[in-house]
Amino acid sequence: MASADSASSSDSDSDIVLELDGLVQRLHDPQSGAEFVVEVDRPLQVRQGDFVAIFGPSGCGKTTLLTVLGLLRQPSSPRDIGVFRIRGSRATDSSGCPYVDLKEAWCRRQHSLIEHIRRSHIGFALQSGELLASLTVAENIAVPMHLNGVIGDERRQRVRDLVDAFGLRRQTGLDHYDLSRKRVNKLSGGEYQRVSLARAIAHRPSIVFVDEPTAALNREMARGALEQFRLLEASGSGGAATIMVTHDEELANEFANVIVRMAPVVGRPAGRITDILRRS
Amino acid sequence: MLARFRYYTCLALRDLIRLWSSTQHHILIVAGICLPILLLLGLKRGHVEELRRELMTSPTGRQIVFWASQDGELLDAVGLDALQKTLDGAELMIPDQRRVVSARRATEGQPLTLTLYSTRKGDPILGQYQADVLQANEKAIVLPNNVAEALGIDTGDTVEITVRREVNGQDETATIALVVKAVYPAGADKSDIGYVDSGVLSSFEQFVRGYAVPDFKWQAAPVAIPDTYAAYLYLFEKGQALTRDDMEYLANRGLKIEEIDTSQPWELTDFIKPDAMVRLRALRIFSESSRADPARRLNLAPSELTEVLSIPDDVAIPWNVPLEAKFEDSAAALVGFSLPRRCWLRGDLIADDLAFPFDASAIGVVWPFRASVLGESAALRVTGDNRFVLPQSAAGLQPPSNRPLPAEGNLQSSTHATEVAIVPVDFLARMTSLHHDLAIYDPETKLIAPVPATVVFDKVRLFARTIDDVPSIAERLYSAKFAVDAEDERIQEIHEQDSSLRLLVFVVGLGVFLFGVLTVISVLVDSTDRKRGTLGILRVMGVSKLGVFWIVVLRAAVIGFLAGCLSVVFGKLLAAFLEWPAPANSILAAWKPTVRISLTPQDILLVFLGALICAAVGAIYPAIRASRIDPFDAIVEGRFR
Repeated sequence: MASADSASSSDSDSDIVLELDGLVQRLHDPQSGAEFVVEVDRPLQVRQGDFVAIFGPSGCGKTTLLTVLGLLRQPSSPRDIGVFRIRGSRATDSSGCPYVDLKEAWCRRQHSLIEHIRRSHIGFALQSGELLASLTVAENIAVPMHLNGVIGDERRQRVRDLVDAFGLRRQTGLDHYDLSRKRVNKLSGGEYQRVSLARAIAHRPSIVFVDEPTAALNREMARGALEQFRLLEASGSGGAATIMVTHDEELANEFANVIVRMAPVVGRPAGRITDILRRS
Repeated sequence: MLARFRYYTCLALRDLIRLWSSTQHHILIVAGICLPILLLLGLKRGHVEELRRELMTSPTGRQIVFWASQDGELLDAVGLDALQKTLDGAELMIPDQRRVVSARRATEGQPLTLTLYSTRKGDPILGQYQADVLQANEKAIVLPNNVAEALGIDTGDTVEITVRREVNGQDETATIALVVKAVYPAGADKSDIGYVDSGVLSSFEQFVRGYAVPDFKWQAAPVAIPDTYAAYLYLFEKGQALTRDDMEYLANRGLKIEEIDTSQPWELTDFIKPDAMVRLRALRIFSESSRADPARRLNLAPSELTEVLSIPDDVAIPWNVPLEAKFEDSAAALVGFSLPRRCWLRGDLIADDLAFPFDASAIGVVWPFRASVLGESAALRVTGDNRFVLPQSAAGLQPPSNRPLPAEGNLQSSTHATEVAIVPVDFLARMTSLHHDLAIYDPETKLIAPVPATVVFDKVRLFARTIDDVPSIAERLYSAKFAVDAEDERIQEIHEQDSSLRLLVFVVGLGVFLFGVLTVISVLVDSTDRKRGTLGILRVMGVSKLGVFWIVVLRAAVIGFLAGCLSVVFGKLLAAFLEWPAPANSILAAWKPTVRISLTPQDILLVFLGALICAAVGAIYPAIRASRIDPFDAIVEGRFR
C-alpha cells in the first residue's frame, strides 16, 4: 500500500488501482451562477487494499472529488488532467498494460468503456444507501451481480454470504432473523447502510467508494458497518481498495491507512488537497 | 448484453408494480386521453357516418322532379325505364301521379277522402319509415297512421278504395280492396296521403279517363271514339274567298290548301250535280302527312274549322278514305258523307238526302238502301285484307230504293269496290280508326271506343343515388328539354353540413390528440423525474444510457398498453350503453340519447397502438433526459424530489 504523496518509488506500480493527478474540477451553481473549483495538484495513488479516507470540512469538495474518482461525474476539462487511470481487466492495451486511461476515455467520450468500468470495477456505498426500493434486500445485493453476468448458484451463494456477513440474517436459538426477503423500505437506518455496503462489494470490485457513512447513521452504527466491511474485505481474495469520504476525523483515523486532507482555498471558492498521509 | 436487458426489463416491471398507485394514476391519465379518441372514432364511424350517410342520401336532397317542358316529351312507363338507363347515378324514377279517392274500412265504416300518391319499390320517402313494402302492381296500400286510425285499420287489414270518374257528364265509381301493407308515422300536418304502386295508380288513371281496366274488372265509360279523324277537309265556297286571317289560321295548324279542278273527276264528282260543280269553288285542306298517307288524321273537327273561319256560308266536309265493306256477299265502298241538316250544299247534291246529317243518332247506310245498323255494327271486324264484314244479321236491312248509284271507279282508294255505300262521316271515321287499330270494339258498351292510351306521366320524381349525382342528372335532363326542379340549395346546405361535420370531427380529434400527446409526455416527464433517484442508482451501478433509456421507454410502453386495454374495455362498455335504447317509460329515456358508436377492430387497434406509440414517443424525451444526466446528480436531485 502506498500514498500518492510520496510517489513511493520503492513500491511497485503494479498494485496501483487508481491514480489521479492535475485535476481542476469546476462546479457551476446554475441558480447563483457561482463557480466552485476542486483542485488536485498532487498525485493521488490508491493501491490494492488501501483504505483511503478523504477528510475535511464541509464544502471543501470531498464528495466532488469522490464523484470524479468514481466516474460518476465527467471531469470539467479532461484534457487538462495530468494522470487519471484505473486498473481494469477489460481495456488492457496491446502492450499488455492493465490500466485504463480514464483521461483519454473521457476525452474520447468512451461512455461505454466508462460504464463498463463503473459496472465491473467500482462499487459504491453512497451517503443514504440509495437502494432500489422496489427490490428486497437480497435482490438489491444481487443487482451488481446481475449487471456483471454472475448467474445461478454463484450469485445466490454470494448473496447468502453477504447477508450473513453483514448480519442481515441470523439464527439465535428460536429467534430467526432474516431480512433478505424484506423490502428495503422496511429496514432501519443501520440495516439499510449494511445492505448498501454489501451491495457495493457484491460483484467483487477493485475499488469501493463509501460516501459519508455517518451522514445517515450515528457513529456507532456507521463504525459497526464499516468494521464488518473492513473485515470482509480483509478476508476476501486480494482485497479491494476503499475510498471513504467523511468529515469525521475519528472515523478516518480509525479505519484509513491513507488520509487525504482537503481544505477550502482562502480567498476564492475552491477546495484542494492539502495533505496525503500514508500510515503503515 | 441480452441478459442485462432482460434484467432491465425485470427491474422496470418490478418498479411499475411497486409503485402501482402511481402507475394506476398514469394509466388512468393516458386512458383518459385514449378513451375519448376511441369514442370519437366510434362516433365518427357510427353516429356521424350515419348522419352523413343520411344527409348524402336524404330523400329530399337527392330528389329531382322533372316534367315535360315545351320541347321535352311526355314519358310512359317504358320511356321512363329507357330514360333511367341513360342517366348515370339515377337510382329510381317514380311517376308523380296523384288521385283523390274515397277510402273506407272494407264493407263498413265511414268513407274518408284520401289522396293517393304513386310509389315504386325502393321509394326512399317510404324507405325512411320502413314502409317501402309495395311490389310492382301489388294491390296494396301504405297509409299514414292518422288515416289508419281514422279508418280503424292496421297493417294486414283491407281498405276499400273508391275511384270516381265523370265522362260526358256521367258519374261512375269503381271500387277495389287493397291490403294495408304498412302504416307510417304521419308528419305534423297529418295530411291524408296514401301510397299505392305506380302501376295500380296508373290503372286508376285509366279508369278516370274512361278506359276499361280488365285487371280490376272495371268497365270503360260508354263513350265512342271522337270523330276527328278526317284525312282531308273539302271546303266549298259559295261566294267570299278565304281571308288572309283564315289562311294564317290554317297555316298555323300546319294545314295546306289547294284548289280542286272540278272539271276533272274527283272524290265528290258523282255526288254533286254537274251544273253545280261548275259554279262551286272547292278547296282541299290537308297536311303534308295526310297528303302522303291518307290514313293519317288531321285531328280537326269540321265544327272547329267552321267556328274559327270567318266565312259563315262555307261548307267543310270531312273526308276519309273509303273503305271496302261487304254486305252479305256484296262488296261496296264505304263512303262517309255528312252535311248539316240545313246546308245549302244539299241542294247541289244529286239527292238532297244523300248526305247524312252530322247529328244523326244512328249509324246508317245509304247504298241504295237506308237502314239502321246501330246494334249490328258491333260485330264488325277487320279482316286480313282490310275488309269490314257484316254478319248474317245484317241481312235484314231494307231493300235498296231507286236512288241513282254513283259512278264506278271514281273512288280513289277503293278501286275494287263495285258499289258505293254512303255512311255517316263519323261512322266511317270510326271504321277507319278501327281499321288502323286506333279504336277497339267494347262489347260491354257496344261502342267503338278509343284504344286505352298508355298512361303518360307529365311529372316524374327521380332519386339519384347520392346528392352528388344530382347536378349531373339535372344537367342531362335540362339538355333533354325537360323542366327540372332539383334541390340545389338543399344540396349545398347538405354539403356545408357535411363539411362542418367532418371539420368538427377533425378539429375535436386533432385537439384531443395533440393535448393527449402533450399530457402523456408531461405525465411521463414528471413520472421519469420522480424516478430520477432510482435511475441515478442504476447509473451509478453501471447501467448504460441505453439501459436507462430502455427502462424508461418500456415503463411508458407498459403504461400505454394497459391504458389502451382500459380504453378499449371502457370504450366497449360505453358504446354498448350509448347504443342501448332505454325503455320508453323509464327515467333513463328522458335524458339518455341513443347514439350509434361503431368500434371497428381497426379503430381499436389504432387507439391501442396510438396509446403505445404515444406513451413510447412521449417517453423518449424524458428517457433521453434521464440517460444523459450524471449519475451522481441524478441521485442528489432524486433524493430531494
